[in-house]
Amino acid sequence: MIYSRERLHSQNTHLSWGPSDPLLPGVFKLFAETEGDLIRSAKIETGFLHKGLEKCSEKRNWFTSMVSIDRIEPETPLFTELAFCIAVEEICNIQVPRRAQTIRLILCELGRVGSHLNFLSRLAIATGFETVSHYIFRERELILDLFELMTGRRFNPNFFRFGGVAADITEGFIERIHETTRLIEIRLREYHALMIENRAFVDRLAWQGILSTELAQFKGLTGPSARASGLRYDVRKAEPYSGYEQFDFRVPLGMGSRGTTGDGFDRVMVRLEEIRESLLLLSHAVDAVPAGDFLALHTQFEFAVPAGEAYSRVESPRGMLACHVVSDGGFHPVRVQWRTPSASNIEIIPEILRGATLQDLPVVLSSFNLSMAEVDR
Amino acid sequence: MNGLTDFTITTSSYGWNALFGLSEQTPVLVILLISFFFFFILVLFPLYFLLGFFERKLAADLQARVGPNRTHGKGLLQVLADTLKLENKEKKIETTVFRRVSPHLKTAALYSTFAVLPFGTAMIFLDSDSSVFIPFACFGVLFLISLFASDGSIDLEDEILAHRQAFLWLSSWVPAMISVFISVVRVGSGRWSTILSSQSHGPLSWGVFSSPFGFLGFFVFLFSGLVALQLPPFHSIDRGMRHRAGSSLARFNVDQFYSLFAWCILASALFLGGQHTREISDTSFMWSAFQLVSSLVKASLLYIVLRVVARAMPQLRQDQMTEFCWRVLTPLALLSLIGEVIWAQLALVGGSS
Amino acid sequence: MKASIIRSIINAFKILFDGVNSLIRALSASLPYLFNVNPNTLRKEVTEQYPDPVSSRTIDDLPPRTRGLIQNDIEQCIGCRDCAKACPVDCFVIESERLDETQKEWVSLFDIDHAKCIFCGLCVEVCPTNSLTHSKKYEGATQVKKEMIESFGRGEPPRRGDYQ
Repeated sequence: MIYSRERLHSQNTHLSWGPSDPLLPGVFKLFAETEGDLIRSAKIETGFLHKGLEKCSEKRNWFTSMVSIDRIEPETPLFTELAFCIAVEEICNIQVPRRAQTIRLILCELGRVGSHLNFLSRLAIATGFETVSHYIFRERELILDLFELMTGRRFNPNFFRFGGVAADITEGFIERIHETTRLIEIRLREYHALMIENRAFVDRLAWQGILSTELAQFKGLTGPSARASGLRYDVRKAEPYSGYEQFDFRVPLGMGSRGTTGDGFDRVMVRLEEIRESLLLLSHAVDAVPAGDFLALHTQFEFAVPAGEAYSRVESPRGMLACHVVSDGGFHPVRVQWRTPSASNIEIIPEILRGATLQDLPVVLSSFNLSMAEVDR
Repeated sequence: MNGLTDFTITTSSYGWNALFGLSEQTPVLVILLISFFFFFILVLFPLYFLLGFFERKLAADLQARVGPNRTHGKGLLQVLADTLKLENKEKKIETTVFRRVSPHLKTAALYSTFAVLPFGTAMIFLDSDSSVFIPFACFGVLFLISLFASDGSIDLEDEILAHRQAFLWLSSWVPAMISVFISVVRVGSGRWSTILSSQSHGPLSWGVFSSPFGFLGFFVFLFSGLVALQLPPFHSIDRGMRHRAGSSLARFNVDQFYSLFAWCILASALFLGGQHTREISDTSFMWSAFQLVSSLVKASLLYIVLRVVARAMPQLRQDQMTEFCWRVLTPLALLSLIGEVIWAQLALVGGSS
Repeated sequence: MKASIIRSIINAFKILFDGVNSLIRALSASLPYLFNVNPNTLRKEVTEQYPDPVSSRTIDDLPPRTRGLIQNDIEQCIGCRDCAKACPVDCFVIESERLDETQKEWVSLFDIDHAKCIFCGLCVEVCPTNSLTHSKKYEGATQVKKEMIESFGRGEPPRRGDYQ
């Protein structure tokens, strides 16, 4: 016969993808042992995007190290800045004024909405749905314009300082936020019709890449991917920072509405719900900005942080982002170490891919919202 | 229905004679060659460029983008520009003789289906009583060629996907054939000219509107065509494009266009009435040109609608597509066939009494 | 056996119904873009064609805090070199001398290498006289790397005797 077992390669064969491959959501190598169409086991290799940013932070003094901090996660730079600032403020015992805290909260929630929109767009491309992907990027433009209005840049804003923010709210910012929130809420309904109620899209995601609660806890997953599996942990609720304790907001959990709890569809639903919650939180926070200073103390480049160390935790759109800052009283940081959510979340990939088909690969990988820049720093 | 077992091969191609102004005594082979070159150069390529541009422009409008707008002022010659650019790229040098020859073999086999496409009542080269099944037999043979005489994929993944594609083709071929049967049952014969003439009394006599089962059959036919040809929304990661570059990619694009366009011509002949109502004279130039133009226009509109609407949907996995074919399309096609048989019998009973 | 056949038939119809429903919903959400329904607010193409034709937004449309290319008002500059110390990428080359007559710094050489600049804005923040500012220009691309160095310096200081 033409098709013998060897010809059909139906016994275990080895495939590899990467480091740069349109299937993969980032720059890493993926090795898989497949039997026909099914993946039996997988292994990943990262490190291709290593830029040495932690070392760069040590090279610069405290004042200019913010530019290295920005670039650890290029899509959501404000969260890394926030974590760094909170840690340094803890060492120096600086009290951040309420107005600055609220401004930080507003910008972080905007960043969260932007990051989740980015995730949805990339997932749409992975499922072959380019139409929705273009629509979603249009909304993200509004958020980037808001960043430019407030901080001066769309990416790498370099805006948070020790003790507050670099500048006060510009005029027209609050009105623009209200407008943008309203517009995105209208569009969310459109995406709901296009994606959530679409049988083909749901079929691609429901029952795929199921992540159980025990496995999520065992591997130390955090963020929306873990909450979709039922693991209820959000740093904003568990250890509130920067004024989150004043606002009332819900943390969505995976419900298993179309498949089972913890599948790809739940991860999408949780992020959609989080966008809604962030928009609500934004509209409340923007109306309740207290009066006061936007910066507690003005730092120059000869700013010296007293000796000590601190560990700060922040809820970034991908998970729990933590920063360990060590200082010896000098003008440079001694060590800035990052616990990035993607570095922990990427460990789930070998487990998740077991039993998946080859064609599920891009969709399942994209549904975890991994960022290689965070993994490799 | 002994007409279906009548295997005499007749040609009703005197329409093509009239189109080129040649007498009826010209041998069929000469007409075939002339009309093939005419079609290829004056119809297929301009349509490829025009429809390709419209497809991209409309899809871009759908996605809130601009789309091609640079070439020739409005972007009309975009696809021509892309094809020329691809032709100018470096050609991949294949190692074995077989790999060098097999793409050309496949292209030749694909375009040979031109001989069995119906462009009008008098423009069919093969018009026996079961001629409606012949194009599908041709496509089936093509599929077998591509399965057994593959280029020899270098990549294991491509081979796995190619095997899947083979089963996908089979699972979409079955509902397509059943929906063709629906048309045959409605008309009572498998002869192209009969099918075309029966739909020539205005839009209400078209296959798609003649009965609810014809309507269902039309959509089953379209979907099974999209699945068979691996086009969006039934289009998984196209690894087939990965190994193609330069002129072979250009050839692949034209082939893909031709296959979907041929499918649209078949759909418009079976269900949308391949010709207009008024019969002038069967062998006049005007009548033949009219028939040709109307069948091309219908097929083009159908093509554009299919391609643009397909962009509004996400794409499925191949095993989901196979499941869709076997679990949804095939039972639906069978049900429509049974319904159409009952409908036709009732019409006969109602008509005679 | 019978029940499972009936169930699978019902399931098939359910899939079909869901599919048609999804298609209708998808089309009703995206086809309005094709037919340009409600063009002013929500349904308009978002592509900005640049640079030909020039974008509908000009430099003046950019917000006031936009961090574009750096410019220096050399009359105000006192040559303190705070900007060079603050810059993370060392893109400043500054030479200055103190004139005896006026007791002011004469900044003879002030080069900013825009190829290195990362637009972080720290130099603008620390400038004591606010002579360094961000312009809103963002089009700095050239084909020769040397052209990216912008000189603001005043050149040779006036000699004793010329300055009357």
